[in-house]
Amino acid sequence: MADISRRDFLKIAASSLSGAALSRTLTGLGGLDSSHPNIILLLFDALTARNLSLYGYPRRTSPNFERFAERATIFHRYNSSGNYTVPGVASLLTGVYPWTHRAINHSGLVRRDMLDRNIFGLLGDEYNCTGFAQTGWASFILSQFRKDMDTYLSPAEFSILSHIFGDGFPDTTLALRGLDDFMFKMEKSPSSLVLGSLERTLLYRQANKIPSKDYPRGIPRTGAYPVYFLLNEVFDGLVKMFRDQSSPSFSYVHLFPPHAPYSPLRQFYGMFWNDKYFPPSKPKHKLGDGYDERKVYIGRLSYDEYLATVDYEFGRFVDSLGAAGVLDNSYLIITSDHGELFERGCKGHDTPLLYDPIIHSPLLIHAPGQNDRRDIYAPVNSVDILPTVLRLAGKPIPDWCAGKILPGFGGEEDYERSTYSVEAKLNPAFAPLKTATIAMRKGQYKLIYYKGYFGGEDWYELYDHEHDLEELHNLYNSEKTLATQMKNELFETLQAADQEFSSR
Amino acid sequence: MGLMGWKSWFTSRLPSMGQLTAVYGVIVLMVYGWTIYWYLWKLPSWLYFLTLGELLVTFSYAMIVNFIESLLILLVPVLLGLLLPHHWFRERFVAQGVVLVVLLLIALMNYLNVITGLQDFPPGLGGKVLAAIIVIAFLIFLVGRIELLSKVVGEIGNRATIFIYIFLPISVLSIFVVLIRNVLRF
Repeated sequence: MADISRRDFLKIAASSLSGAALSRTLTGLGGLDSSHPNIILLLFDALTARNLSLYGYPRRTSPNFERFAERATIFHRYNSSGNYTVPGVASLLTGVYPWTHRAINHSGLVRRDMLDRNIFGLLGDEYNCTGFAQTGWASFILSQFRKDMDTYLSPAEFSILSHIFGDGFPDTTLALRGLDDFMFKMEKSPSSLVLGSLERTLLYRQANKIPSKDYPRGIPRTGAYPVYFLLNEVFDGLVKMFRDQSSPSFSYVHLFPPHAPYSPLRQFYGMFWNDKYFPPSKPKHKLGDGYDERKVYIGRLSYDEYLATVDYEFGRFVDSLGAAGVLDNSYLIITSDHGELFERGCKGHDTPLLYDPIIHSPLLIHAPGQNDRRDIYAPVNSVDILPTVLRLAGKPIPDWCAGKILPGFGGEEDYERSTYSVEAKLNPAFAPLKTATIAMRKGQYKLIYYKGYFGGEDWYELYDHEHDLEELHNLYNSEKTLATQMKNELFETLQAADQEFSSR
Repeated sequence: MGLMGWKSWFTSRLPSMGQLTAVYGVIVLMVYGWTIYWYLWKLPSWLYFLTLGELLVTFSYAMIVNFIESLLILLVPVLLGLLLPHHWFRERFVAQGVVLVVLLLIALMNYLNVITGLQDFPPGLGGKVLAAIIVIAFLIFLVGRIELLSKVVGEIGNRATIFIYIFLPISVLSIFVVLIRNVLRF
């Protein structure tokens, strides 16, 4: 007899009792149950809004995103809750800030007493839930919620070559940790001396055989957890998956591009080399990586080329979704877990800094059958995705959720609302935040609080995004009253978040 | 040669249990030692967000991999003993076996050191591998010829058996832990 999970059983029972089986079949064939629409949450890793021409970037990096935006709602002030994958993804899936879910460290996890508070579980048994992340760190978090998903896809899914071992175990989270994050990790020497050597030798031999003539910088691949893939094949696989899913469905899809290593298609390689665009020069930051401006500029060029590649494949993907009828019966949410920073001596996102490019992510939502464009300028945050998805699915929103329903989808435009982005990768997960950077967004202002980084001394920066989006003029000393008000509010919020850990 | 003949040929060429454990002890020391070294290197960051239970389960997965790879490495001297003439290798199985596995594992460590951080094999790797094989073969030959060296290495092997008593029970326990986690989903 086939293995029927508790979730499957409840679904069958619910269908039988309510006589919904017929309706399910019909919606599976492309119909739309408006009270339970299909929802696709498609996330690009390290995609900053600031380098997309859709959001005003001078380089034409995103003509296809622009085309898609003509049929979508575009959020212009959407910030990620974190500045790298772990906190960004965890906030998106749990609807709370990093100081609550505590997935704050490199390869960190959501606190174990909160595992029931996730988007898959909250959608309930009538939703057919799928989770897929190409990147290791997002997979670790996703695997924590595996029991609430109908389909958990391996990072290796849709790839041309991969060596991921832990996903084959029912105990996925710790198998991934023990095998892929430790014994066979690509970063340092693998901790498995014999099988690790064999595995790496085999991987390189196989990777060498992949034709790479279309990719001057090599075939796209992930970093420390080896997955080699072609973006067009990944998108083709996704289209097929979405087309064949039974309704109503919710899919979380986390794609690795445009995360480094930047691997553009040949037609986009070098496309910006002579365009004479130079971003404003910014001084090196004390907490930056110390790269000189030339290296940072070259990093930006490579990133922009890869963005153009991602945009090209995204355009094909959206066309295919349209042709398959998926866009007629599904919400398609496009966003990112965090951005990328090419300024102040930094390139990438492994930094404690929280300047706009690293937390300003794109957010575009296409509603089923939508044919016009809407622009929303109220500040929103990745914690808002969970309540919005629940709202779209007709589900109640739990009171512990820190997010609000997005404007345009049942929520109000609140320009004075405070939202936060948190970086605390050097802080123990279950202790008060003593080494962290926190950005607080309120109205047109943004306060950045560096806690414990400068030899224990606190440091603040205040920027007016209305007049200084490049964050060149620190107003902290000139706007004392405003700075104090924002500081006090931030302290109060932080103290409340830290309270339960202070007593441990 | 009949089945019985093959069996007797095979068993006559297999090392004794005492010889096997001496060589295996050295393998266990190096293979498990390498993993534990990296585990301790990782531990401070994992302590930030993993619970004690999670750390132990993670360690269990590692120990199982170590168990498998220690048996794989043991196969190398055993196969050599089967294939090579008696006086070439099996006569001084412990000493020559210990030298073989130690050098082989050091070569693997060096290999990993060379290819870590790269995305491809470095140039000239084939020549280096060949050189390593020649050096290992020469040193095995040497240890078989010098009585004192042979004795010292053999003693080291005998003393290393203690590590089997430490790591084999840990490996068995680890297998149980992983089975419980995956089959009983506990």
